Amino acid sequence: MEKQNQFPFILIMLLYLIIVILSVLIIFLGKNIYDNINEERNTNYNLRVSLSYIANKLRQSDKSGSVEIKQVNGENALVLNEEYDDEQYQTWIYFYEGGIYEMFTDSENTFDLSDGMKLVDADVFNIEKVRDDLYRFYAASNEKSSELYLSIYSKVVTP
Amino acid sequence: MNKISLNSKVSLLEIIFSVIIFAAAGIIMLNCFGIARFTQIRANDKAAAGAIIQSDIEIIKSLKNPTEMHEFLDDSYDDKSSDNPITYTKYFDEKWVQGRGKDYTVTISVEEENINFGVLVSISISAKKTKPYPFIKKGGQDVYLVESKKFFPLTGGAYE
Repeated sequence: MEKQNQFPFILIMLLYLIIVILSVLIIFLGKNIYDNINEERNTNYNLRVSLSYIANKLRQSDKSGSVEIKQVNGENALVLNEEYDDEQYQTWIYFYEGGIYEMFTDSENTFDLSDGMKLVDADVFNIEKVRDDLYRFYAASNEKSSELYLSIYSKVVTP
Repeated sequence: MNKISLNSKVSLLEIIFSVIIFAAAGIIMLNCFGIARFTQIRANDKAAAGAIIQSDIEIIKSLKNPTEMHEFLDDSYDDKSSDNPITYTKYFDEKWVQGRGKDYTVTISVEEENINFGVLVSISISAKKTKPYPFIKKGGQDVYLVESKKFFPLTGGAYE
């Protein structure tokens, strides 16, 4: 009787073992997929938020003479000039130590780059003036990159 | 000493049911993982296509006349059809690098209409995946679509 039961018992244990191994594999597969999704979501967030935020800022300040590019720490920075209560203010958007920063300040004031507010993480962030009415923004994060061209309507030149 | 007795017929039946339930749950889980993965890939594609399409529209909006627009489209797009509306197509690989593969296509159709004091151009630009997304039935192969218009004035038209 014991001999008869020996084969099914081994078979059952083997099947259980296969189920356990497959369960572990599915858990690891799920974990890897979740990690990938999370990493790509973060990268997408960094790239999209940085470029969308700048696009919105630029649209807000799309007035004659309010948008310019200045050099900060050897890199181009976007400077948006604004006027409140007859006072001149500036919003600086620039790349500094692995992030895109924003600094709102009095136009007369000087400031330290670390004083700005960090918007998002980025490995690279470039601003380039293609033409008077066209700017190119390039951001890279986690080996992924994205670029966005933005036209300034206030600088549209007559034909 | 007590020995474990095993009713092999019942146990085998139980284990077969267990395997069937496990297989069914496993298939459902793998399908969910597949859907999650390709939904994320689709979201990535939307972000990449959105930036490309927005950039092209912004560049067109910054140009001064239809001739400049066609020059830009001739330079930056791979194929052109001369029908009306004129259609330009460019191809991207799976990492959205232009000219390396044909996993994605970005197509722009421009239709010009001569109206008083200028030319009104209707623009339709779309991004599509060449092959359908696995696991995802909803939405088909379309990734992104923008429709816009640009008026090129013959004289004046700028605003400060």
